Amino acid sequence: MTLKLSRREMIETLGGGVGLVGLAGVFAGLSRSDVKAAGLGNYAGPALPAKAKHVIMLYMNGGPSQLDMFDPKPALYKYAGQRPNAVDLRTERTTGGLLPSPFEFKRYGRNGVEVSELLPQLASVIDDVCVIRSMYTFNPTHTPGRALFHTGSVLATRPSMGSWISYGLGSENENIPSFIALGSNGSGPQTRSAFLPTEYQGVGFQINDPDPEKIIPNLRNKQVDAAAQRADMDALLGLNQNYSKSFGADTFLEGRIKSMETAYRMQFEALDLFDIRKEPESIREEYGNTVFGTGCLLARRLVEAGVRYVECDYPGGQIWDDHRDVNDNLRKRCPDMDQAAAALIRDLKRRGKLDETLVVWGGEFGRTPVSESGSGRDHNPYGYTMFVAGGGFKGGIAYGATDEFGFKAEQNRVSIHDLHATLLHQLGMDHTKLTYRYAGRDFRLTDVFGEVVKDILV
Amino acid sequence: MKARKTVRDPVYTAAQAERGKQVYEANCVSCHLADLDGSANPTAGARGAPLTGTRFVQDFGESKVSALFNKMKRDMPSGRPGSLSDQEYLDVATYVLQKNSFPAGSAELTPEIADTAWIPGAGGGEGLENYTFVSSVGCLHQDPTRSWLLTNAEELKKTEPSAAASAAAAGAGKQGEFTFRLLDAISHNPEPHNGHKVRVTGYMVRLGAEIRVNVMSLQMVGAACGN
Repeated sequence: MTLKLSRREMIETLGGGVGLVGLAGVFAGLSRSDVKAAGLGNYAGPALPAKAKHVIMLYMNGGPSQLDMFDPKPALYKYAGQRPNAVDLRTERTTGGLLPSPFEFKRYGRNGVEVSELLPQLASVIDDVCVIRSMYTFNPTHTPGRALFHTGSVLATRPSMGSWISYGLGSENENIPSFIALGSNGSGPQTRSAFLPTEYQGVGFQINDPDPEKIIPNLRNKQVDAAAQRADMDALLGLNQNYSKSFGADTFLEGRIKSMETAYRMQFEALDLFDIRKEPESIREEYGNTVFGTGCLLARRLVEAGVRYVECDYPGGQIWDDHRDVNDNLRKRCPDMDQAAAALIRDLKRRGKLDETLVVWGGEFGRTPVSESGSGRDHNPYGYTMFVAGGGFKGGIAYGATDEFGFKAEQNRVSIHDLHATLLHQLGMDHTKLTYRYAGRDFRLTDVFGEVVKDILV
Repeated sequence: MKARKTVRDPVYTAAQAERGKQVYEANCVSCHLADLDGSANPTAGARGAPLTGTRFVQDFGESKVSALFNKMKRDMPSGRPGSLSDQEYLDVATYVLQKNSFPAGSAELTPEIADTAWIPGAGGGEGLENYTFVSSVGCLHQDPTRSWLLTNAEELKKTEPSAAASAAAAGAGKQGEFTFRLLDAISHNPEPHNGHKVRVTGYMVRLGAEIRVNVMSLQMVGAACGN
């Protein structure tokens, strides 16, 4: 069967409310290239030259310690246990004197970027990594901090970056959701579409077991075959169309219908796509036989299949929140994170996909150079480190700097909104023009903030 | 007080370590690598934890040899733990001790000796508080992972920071038996002194059983390490 639809016809169909669903029944029979062409974005601003098409967000929930991983501060030793005036910043909890990092930093790559001994594998790919040492954000508490990181706002009512990007760029593969969150339950700011159409909600999958039947339980309908399901769906769609004629277009209903269509189509592709056991043993070894290794490898497979935005959470919830025993905790936690994150960068590059994929690493804030409980570090929104690999970001550089103790970003400061603006820029979108009208005004991921950080772009 | 028995007193034979090497090469080398540096070797992409150097001290320092034996027997080789004989695990443990420069002697390691002999921590900082300003003389050495070490070093001595760089403090010093990993040595231009006898001052940093020194000054006191 062939289907010829012009872009205009496709848009008209979309514009007609739930009319799109009439097409959906035939999508399962389309070739991949036809389906790709069907991915429609909503971004209406000037088309910037896009370097990247996909984002993989490696999210370190809790706020990882930049001082022990990416931002060496020898001055901490000299003032260990003391609290000079320069570090007189308010902390969320009671904190004491400066706590030096016991970890060794070495210089790696063509520019000698310093990376700690905790991350030997990421150090080996540092020439593809843009380390931003001067990140700052606006809230020292996890829930609003996580919301800022993902949505650009502390409010619990704003869409996540993954939803904005999916909304802006559309889907590359109609058979799977355009925004997938691995190791997430698919709620909260990580995945929230908020007022954006529901089809841009991130779909969460638990990946503790790499068996795809466990990752996507009940995907296969064992009672009803595909044709009968299709007939059921069409009947339901008919009812919904009647509703739409009576009550007018309803974006929430339309989103729900699209989600059901996606779920229907996922039956034919997803089990194969989500099965990392189909990868060569050597590749699985490279990522590591760990939950985060599974997530990173799956993220690569999803991006290759056309998923626009994948968030991959380091497992264990708010686990990088090292209020005590930071040294011991990092020594236990870093190896599998380091291995999988580095393998992802290496693997994407080998396959020629790193240039068009933004691999972003970080948490909602960093940690303080002053100690908490003697052996831990408190939350630090004043200055912390994130990194971006690929997608036209400069590799092998450390951009910006914190003060001599690593407390506050001082040189070339990059706010969370600046980072969002820069990521959108690399995806070909002007962050001031990616808007959605809701409740009487146009909303943006970056609200009224954000500057593209041109210095870190190729 | 009677001194405890450590692996510095010989606890294995060279022949036993050689047997251990054969077992290691058949079962362990793919993850921990031929030099036993494992995942500390950034170019090899290996998965196994390093079994030499400072990481070995971190993981097994201030433990009895039986801790190493039990860890191997419980978890190793990866994917088929417990599949070797007790004798083979013991032999591999002696190979690991040999690669960490603990001496061979005339008697083989037995389970009984493994349960009484201690693997020392980095040592040299007993009685000193964390972040004490210290000095030591030893051989400056860069290991295969590009870490800077002070080897054959004398015990750390508490020092006044103001005296650190003075000529009087920069005596020839003697050398000793300790190894310290040096933090931030790269800020003190260490390359020209690789293999030289140097005096280091800085802040003592504890990481588990290991003691490190954050370098504040580094001075050459002899062209040769004298070993």
